[in-house]
Amino acid sequence: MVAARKADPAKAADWKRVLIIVLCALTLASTLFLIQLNAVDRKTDEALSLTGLDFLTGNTPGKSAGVPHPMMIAAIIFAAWGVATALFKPDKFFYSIISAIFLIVAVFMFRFDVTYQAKGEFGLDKDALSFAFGWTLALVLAILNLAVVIWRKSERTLVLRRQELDRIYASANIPGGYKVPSTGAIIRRDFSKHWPVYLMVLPALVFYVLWCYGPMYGILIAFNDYKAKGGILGSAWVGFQWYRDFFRSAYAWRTIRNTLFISFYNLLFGFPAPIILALMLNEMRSIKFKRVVQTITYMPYFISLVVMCGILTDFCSTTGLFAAIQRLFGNDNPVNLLGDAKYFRSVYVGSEIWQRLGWDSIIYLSALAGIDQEQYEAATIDGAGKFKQVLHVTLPGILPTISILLILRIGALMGVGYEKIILLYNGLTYETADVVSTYVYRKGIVDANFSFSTAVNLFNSIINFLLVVFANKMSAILTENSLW
Amino acid sequence: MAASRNLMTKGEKAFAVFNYIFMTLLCIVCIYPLWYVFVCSVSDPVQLYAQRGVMWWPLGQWSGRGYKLVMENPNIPIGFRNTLIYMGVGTLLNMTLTIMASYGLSRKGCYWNGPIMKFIAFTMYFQGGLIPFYLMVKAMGLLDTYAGIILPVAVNTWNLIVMRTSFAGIPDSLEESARLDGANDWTILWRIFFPLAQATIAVIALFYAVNWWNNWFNPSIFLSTKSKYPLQLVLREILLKNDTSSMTQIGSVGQSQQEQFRMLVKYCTIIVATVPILVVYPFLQRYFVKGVMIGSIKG
Amino acid sequence: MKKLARTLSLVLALMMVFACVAFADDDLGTIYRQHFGADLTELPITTEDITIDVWRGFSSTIMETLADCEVFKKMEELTGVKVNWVYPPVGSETDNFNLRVASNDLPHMFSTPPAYAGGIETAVEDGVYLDYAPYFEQGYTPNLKYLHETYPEIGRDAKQDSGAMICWYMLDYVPSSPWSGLWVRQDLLEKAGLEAPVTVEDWDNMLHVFKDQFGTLLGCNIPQWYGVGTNYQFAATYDAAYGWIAKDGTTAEYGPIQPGYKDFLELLHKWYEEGILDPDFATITDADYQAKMADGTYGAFGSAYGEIGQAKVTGMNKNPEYKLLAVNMPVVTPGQTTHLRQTDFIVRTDYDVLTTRCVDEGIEEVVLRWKDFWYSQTGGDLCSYGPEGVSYEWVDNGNGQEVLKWIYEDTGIIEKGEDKDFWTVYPLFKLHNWGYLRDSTAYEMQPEVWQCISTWGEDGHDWFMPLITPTAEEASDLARIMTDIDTYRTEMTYKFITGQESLDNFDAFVEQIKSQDIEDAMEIQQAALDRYNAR
Repeated sequence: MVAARKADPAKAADWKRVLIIVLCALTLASTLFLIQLNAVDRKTDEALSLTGLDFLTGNTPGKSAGVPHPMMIAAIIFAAWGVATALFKPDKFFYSIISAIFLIVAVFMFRFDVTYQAKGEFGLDKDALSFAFGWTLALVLAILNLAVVIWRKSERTLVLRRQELDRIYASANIPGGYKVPSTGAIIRRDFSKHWPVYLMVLPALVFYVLWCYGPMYGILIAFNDYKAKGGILGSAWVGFQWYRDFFRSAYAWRTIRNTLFISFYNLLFGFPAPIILALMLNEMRSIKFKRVVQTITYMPYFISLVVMCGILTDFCSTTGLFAAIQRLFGNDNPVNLLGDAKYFRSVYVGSEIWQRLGWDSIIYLSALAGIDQEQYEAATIDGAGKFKQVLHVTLPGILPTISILLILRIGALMGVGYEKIILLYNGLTYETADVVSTYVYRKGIVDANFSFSTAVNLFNSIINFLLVVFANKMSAILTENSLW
Repeated sequence: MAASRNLMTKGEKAFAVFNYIFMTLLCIVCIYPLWYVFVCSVSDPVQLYAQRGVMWWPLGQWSGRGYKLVMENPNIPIGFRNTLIYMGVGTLLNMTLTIMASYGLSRKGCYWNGPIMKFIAFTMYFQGGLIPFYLMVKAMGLLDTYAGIILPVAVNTWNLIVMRTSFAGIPDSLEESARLDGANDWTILWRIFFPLAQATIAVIALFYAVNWWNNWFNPSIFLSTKSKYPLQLVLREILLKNDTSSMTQIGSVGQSQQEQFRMLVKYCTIIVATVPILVVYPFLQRYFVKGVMIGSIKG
Repeated sequence: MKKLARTLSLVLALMMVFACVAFADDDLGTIYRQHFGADLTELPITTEDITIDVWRGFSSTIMETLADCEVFKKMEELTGVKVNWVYPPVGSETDNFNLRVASNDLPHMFSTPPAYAGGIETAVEDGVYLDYAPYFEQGYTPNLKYLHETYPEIGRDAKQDSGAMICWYMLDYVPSSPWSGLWVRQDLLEKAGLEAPVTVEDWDNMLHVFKDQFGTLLGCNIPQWYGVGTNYQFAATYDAAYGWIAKDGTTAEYGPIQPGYKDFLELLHKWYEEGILDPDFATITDADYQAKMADGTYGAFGSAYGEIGQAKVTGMNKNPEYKLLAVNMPVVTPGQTTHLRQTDFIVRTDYDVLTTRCVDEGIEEVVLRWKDFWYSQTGGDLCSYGPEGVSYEWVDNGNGQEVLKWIYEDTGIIEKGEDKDFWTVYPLFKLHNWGYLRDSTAYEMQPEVWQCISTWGEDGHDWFMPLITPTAEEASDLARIMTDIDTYRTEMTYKFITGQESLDNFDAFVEQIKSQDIEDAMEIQQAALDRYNAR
């Protein structure tokens, strides 16, 4: 009863909802109408005054005339998202914080983007740019918005926790009079109970803070023009210039498509293959033979890529092994498998399986060893045949491992490296073989640009991260196994 | 096992036959690359130069010439010793941190475990890149030290996640009954989790050990003293030293006898770099035996 | 004045070609004593105890450290300057270089460093490399100044458009190029009773005869350093190229959109269809290409001369009659002059740079004078041949000319042994690709090598794109535009040759490239070329 006496926290949260909506709207309005870009056209020497709205409608001079500025579109999307979340899903804290953060990013980046683009893109004199107070105002409003979202969240947490307790107490027919634990109290209680566990995690955690998060600021070079002199933080900011460069390339989408296709086929065939091998090995009676097979199948993993690809190119040539097989089947004019875009993915995925099959199966073999043998005995007593045992005991036994590895694998779909492909591809197979990393590699030969490659890698990472989040969610629903 | 043998049906017998034939073929396919490298490494260098396509047997006279050239290098024993140090100390540190963290993170009901997992998984996707990483190592004063090679890769996230999955699969009932007997977390980890997950622990140790064995990139960045080089870096130098093609581009190279041995040295280096680690796996296989009865620990 | 300088340099270059040919006639590979540079360094340079850090990618099977090289022993003795060698791990030179720059951990000199992100001038702006033009004017580098003033080509090429002097280039007083071109199997020619091919028609005939009689093919790789991209084989016949060319020496043009490129593609397509061109030409690895040169699969091929030695050994092992002949660029009509071939200039692309650390420590004068010594006649001879009396000596050839005699085998600097041929042991007593005044003939080469240099050297190279230097901004724009265009060009070139794309679509191909902003790239190249020509 003590907590309930205070002003109703549910209501208090509600006026903050209104505030969030207002702040989002004001941020957007200020971005669109109060930003006043005064500049001089380099060609005509004409003084120009552009508002945010002009950038949205594409009412700008130069190359990008007629094209809406992406940051403006982003600002609208995230402002609208913030408003929609506050209106319809007020308890989806994740959505509101994402929209609030990205609204800040969009407003913030707009200025750096436009400044960098001014000369090349809009044909404006860079030195004569001014944004009036609109940009600063919009940025302040957007940051305020984020603050309110966090404030509201901390209050809502208590409300929700209280509702939950109410429900529990009501269902157990216990009268009220309890105290809603604060977050601090929950953490203290958890810590006093679980401190030995946290102590065990601590060394690894220190490692991650120091060696993974410590250098993380290096990601920033994706948004600047990295020069050794200025270093990571002191080089000129270029906003999303590298992304514009990449996505304007005639081959951006082709390379993304190829990356996804190669990964997808690799997943489709390369993922189950080691599981099947592990299951087959598991059914072998001769322990000796089994060990020999295991040891031999894992060998190709250790052969260097250059040698592997050399062997492969030999085999695929018109005088090679595959040509001999084609002749055997009556084809007098055998094709070079690496000289035709049709076959590239098959060769790539096939060789990938060749090299990794045994190695990847090890982890499943270890999982198989962990299955409780009593279950097999129980199944045998129930009269289950071998096949049924595999289906009902073995597979469920290694399912957690399978699903976790699948999640990780899906989270690497955009991560096709260039090392192997540059050894195998050529002009005839670019159509299916040219992936994002090889494109970046080729560009790097012409000019070594750290920022460009970091920017494209970051794009890949974000896609991978989204994929892994999605896969993790699906796995949590379907198999109850998840990364977090 | 005896019981199931009696139950073998016709279909199962057919499967067993198929299984053996398939595995034999698979072995031939999988051993070929290593065999190829081996026969190249003992071939006659002059004939090897013109070699293309499938090769089952050494060309010309068997010769140990390439191995002699590779092993003559005084840095090889030093490199071997260093690799053993990196591998031994590194794997030990890796395993300690990984096992402890995996155990902790696989416990249910801990408030922070979810956020910590997200925090850790995030690093699989977002890294700062080489330059800040180097500056970090430099700032810690770890450049050109053994510690500078080992500490920055103390935990591998992928391995951590696999290990945690394996720990999470161990029935809660075992932990609960141990707690009733007054066991603390360390005892539970040591007495229950260790024996039950020994196969996975062996595999993760193998993964770490292989990583250490193949590790050359970080040492090449952080080490400047040759006496601290691991074997792979020494071998890489031998390999690249013998590769005159980079000089040919400059266009002033005629013919050197050294060039004859270039390919030979390449294949010999691969054998020297690969075979020692290949023999580790068979030793680990004994931890893969089935039949660790959960009941036995329960009882 | 500029024009005069240009003419003079052309005359000089021509003289050198003739000189080269003249040697070729009687005694191939004889090294005559020449006086190309000056000797203006006061030795020793310093009596103080000065040690400088020199960074250099180093790999050798015959010595532990560069301090073992006789050249540096002698150089320290002469100049009094000590050197501390800093080696990046082999194969990680680029990473090591970038990290050193990023963490400001600089040596005094980078020798043959990898490309600096953003270009050499950016490195000066960033305060990493030292622009020595002011010191050049002050007279700290008298030997280099002598070379710049005496040889217009050096004066023009050995600096930036802006006049900045950053790189210490390798200067060849006899250009050792071309080093990549076309070869045919002389023994097969003789067997078939054919003359060395001159026109495309001769080639067509020869390749057919080879194919019918001996079953050999034409080896042709496009992008690699032994292929069309480097040595223009068959493309130069039609005044086209795989990359950039300087048409008439003044107009920057992109080779693949020249009308001649279609003829080039048609020729290769025809040969591909007829089965004369290696059907695996698109996918072949370097090692397989060399294997096919040696094992008799190829009757004719493009290659760098560096690869010939081993091909010959292995080829003769399989077939004792194996013999190679370097031939000229084919022409359409006899007497036609071609304009492109693999080319190097007096100023080579290998260079060393000094860093700002020299100035920070106040030892720039010593370091500059020390580096300048490499460009004196004495220093150049020391680097090119090693110390006199240790690795070589001058002897009279009976005609009053001094010629070089190698004596390294007798003076005990190397252990004798069957593996100790010149190319294995030379790093012990002479330098190869460093910034110094080099006699590029001071190597022991196969007769074929001398023959190919003089044969290929007969072909014209006046459309060859010289060493132009785009600015950092231009370079970045160029990279953005050209990555896509080069991708498209590579893809279509292969498809046209194999017939996966009909040559009727060549015009569409050109249009497509034009629509991808090639004009902007041409503008950039043109500007850089103009700046170069205006030097």
